Amino acid sequence: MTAVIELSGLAKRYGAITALAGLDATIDGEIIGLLGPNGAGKSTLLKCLLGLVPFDGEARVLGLSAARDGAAIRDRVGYMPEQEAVLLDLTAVELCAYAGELSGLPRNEAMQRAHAALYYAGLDEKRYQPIAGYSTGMKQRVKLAQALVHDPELLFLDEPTSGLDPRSRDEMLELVAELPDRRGCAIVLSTHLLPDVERVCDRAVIMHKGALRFTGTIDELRGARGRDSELAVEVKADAHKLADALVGAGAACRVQSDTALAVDLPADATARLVFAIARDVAVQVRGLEVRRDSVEAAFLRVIGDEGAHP
Amino acid sequence: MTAAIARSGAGPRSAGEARRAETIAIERVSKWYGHVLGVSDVTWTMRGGVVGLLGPNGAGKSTLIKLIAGLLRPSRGELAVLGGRPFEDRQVRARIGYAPEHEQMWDELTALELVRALAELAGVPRERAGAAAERALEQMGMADARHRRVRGFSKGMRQRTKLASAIAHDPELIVLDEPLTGVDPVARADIIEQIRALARAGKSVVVSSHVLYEIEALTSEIVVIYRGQVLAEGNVFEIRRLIDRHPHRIRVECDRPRALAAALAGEDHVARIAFERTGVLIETRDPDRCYDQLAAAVLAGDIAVHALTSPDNNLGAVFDYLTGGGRT
Amino acid sequence: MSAIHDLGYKRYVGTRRPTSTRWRVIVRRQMATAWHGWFRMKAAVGLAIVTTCVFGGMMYFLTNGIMFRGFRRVGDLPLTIADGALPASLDWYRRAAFLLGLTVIAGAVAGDRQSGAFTFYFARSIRPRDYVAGKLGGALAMTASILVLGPLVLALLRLGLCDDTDALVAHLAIVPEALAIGALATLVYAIVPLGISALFASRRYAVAVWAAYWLIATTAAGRIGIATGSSWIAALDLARAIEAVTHRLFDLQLAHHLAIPLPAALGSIALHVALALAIVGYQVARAQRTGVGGSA
Repeated sequence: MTAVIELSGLAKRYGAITALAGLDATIDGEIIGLLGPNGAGKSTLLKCLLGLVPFDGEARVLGLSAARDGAAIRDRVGYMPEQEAVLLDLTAVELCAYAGELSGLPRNEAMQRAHAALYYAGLDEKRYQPIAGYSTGMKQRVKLAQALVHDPELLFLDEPTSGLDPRSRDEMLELVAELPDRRGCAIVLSTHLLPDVERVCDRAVIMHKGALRFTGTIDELRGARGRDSELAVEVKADAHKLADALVGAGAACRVQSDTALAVDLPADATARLVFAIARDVAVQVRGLEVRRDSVEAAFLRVIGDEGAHP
Repeated sequence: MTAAIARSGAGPRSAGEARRAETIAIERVSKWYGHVLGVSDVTWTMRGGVVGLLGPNGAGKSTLIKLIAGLLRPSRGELAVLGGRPFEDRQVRARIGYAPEHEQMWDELTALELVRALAELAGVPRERAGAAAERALEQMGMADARHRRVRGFSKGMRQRTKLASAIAHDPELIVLDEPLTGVDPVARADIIEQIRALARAGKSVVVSSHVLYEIEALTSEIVVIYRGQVLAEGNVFEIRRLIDRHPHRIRVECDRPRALAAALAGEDHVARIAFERTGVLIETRDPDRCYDQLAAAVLAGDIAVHALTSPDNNLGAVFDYLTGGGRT
Repeated sequence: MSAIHDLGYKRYVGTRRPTSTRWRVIVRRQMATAWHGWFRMKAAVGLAIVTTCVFGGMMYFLTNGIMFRGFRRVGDLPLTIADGALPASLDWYRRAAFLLGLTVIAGAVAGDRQSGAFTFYFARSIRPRDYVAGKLGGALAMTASILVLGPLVLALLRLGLCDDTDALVAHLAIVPEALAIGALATLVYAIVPLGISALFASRRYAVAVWAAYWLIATTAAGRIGIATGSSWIAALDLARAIEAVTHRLFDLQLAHHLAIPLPAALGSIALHVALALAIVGYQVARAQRTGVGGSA
């Protein structure tokens, strides 16, 4: 089974500026988050993978060489850009059918798939009206639909939730999460919103200053499962009272606020200890979880101090 | 701060003197643009700190923000910011810092020139504007880039510059409309810290955003605008308590979910029990009693608990419950 | 028998059309969009149809009248309306084509740049040459429907008005002449505004510049050329250049203009067309490299 993306010594220079510095990686998965600060080289990587710019080294997408078979790759890859990228005087149906035909589908097939893609993206009667009159949410849906029309095996989504209000963001993320199952395509999701990545992605690729800093699963990024003895505990009140009692029972505690504390259980103890001690000191436990880095914390850790630049 | 889910047609507020102490005092304010409704009969006060302003697109958030910043005059009602009327009173506007969502930035200027010009416009005397601009830019992490033209800036740099221009004249109230759009995670963490620092220094901050975790990272005090009106205001968790239509959901991941469920099934505050792959999801109308009974059941039955979470006790769920399903 | 059907997703297993044929899709879309609404292609074509009717009518009803307004044969011989209507009509067909340029062609590439459509095109397997071929093909097809079709109809009408076979044979040349001048004018009126369109990232600017270029700049060049007596400068006025070729083709004598020699006229046209094509090619190739991928 060929990996979705394979890079071997991929490098790209614009004069004196190194945009990509010799990337080596095999990227596979269902929904892959592509993360990195501005200027990390993500858009350059995308251009190389789509075969739009020349580069050094090798890059293969879906088993095809980006240097030689760029057009074939683009026939199999869908791209949902962040910026405005639609022809405004067309209706959504016309645009998607046009997109399908431009990718080589025969006209009838393109029309059928345009409707199917628009159904998936959730645009109903509005599809027969010109795109110029659409709200941000609808425009995002059209952008998603036009990326799906030609039955791609890989989808690049660039900030798919940008500009959407909370409800629409949720809906869009739901659509994205279901794509691999319902459409049989892999997804590369490029976004700055790390909680979104936490929600839908199973793997992540982190870039910084033209180099790859991390490739792997989200779990690996967050630092394994975290040990079962390291807990984050939430209480209704009086966290310090519970902390004191737990320390007395052999645990190590760090109180973070009146309602939150971090607990390191002693050997052989389980979460039961927390409940038992809490009952003893009449503190109500409202939350208990194994402590793990959020994706955001893990990301900042990977990027490190040198990441802080305007 | 008490929480309230506002019912429409709230009665008149307390004495005018109390209003002086409030940072923002809005009373029955409406704003129309011809036939188009911006906000309708909004009554809200803010006494300081950081408040998150949320709402669906088109609900009236930007109208409210512009009213507070003094760019619009209310069609009806009383609007007082820092004790004065921002639309009419330049002195009041000079004490408000506003960073709009879409910047009309002059790409030809350098960051320093831009912030200095805006500071002067806000009333800072010319001799001091330069120093004020430099300080603001440095505070926002733009010290190195201050002599570069705005045209070449990334989105993160633009946002920082906007923020700097909003604080250069040392305002008491800062209004930010989507300050984190397009900003990468590194810059986001930094800007959030800057906003927190501003609040700690005593400034009042109103932040509007669609990205709820950004608001969550900044504050627990929110105000929700829906269909042109204030739908809810106050502390997120208290608001959650007030939403009685949706019982609280508590998820317990454990080794014997059915035993745990059996222990609670008889309680009348339990509305629903659902079994999931790794545990059980309980919906309860009385979370307080439920948590106590859960703890007791865990200890009594010697159940090994892996995780105890409340999936809908967060801003996202609260917002969803408030604005979902065609409320009212 | 009852059943619930599986509406699940079916992958596309058919063939894809080869990349080299994609430009036709763009041509069709160009023309479909241009035809939409009353004030774009329909207006220009409408003007062309009116022209055809008016001049055709003149040919039919006033066949043997004497041509007016200084139109005379070389050697100061009089010209019948039947013979002169076609060359005279070209003035009006050109106006219709200018209108088409204004409403459709000048905005074609600029509009794409403005709305971010390049990202839409080049994220697919469209190559710059397919895009250019598509836009060019569309512009040429639409313009030809005015500038080639119209004169062709009038030429056929002229043949139809001949009394006998000898006259028919004698006038047969009018058809290739009409096609030639039509084709030449089509090149100008399709490609030059397309080139201007590629220069700007705003549809409004491109249209304004096309109008300004045609109405002001070229006219100015013409007048300067006349004033200074330089036929090469005068030839920069494309309208005059086309006119000069028309007069050569149809053996007409210019009553009061500076005579622009054929090389100058054709040279000016070639220069404009080549420059426009170069601009389009360059801008589109550049767009393919930069248009996709956004800022981060």
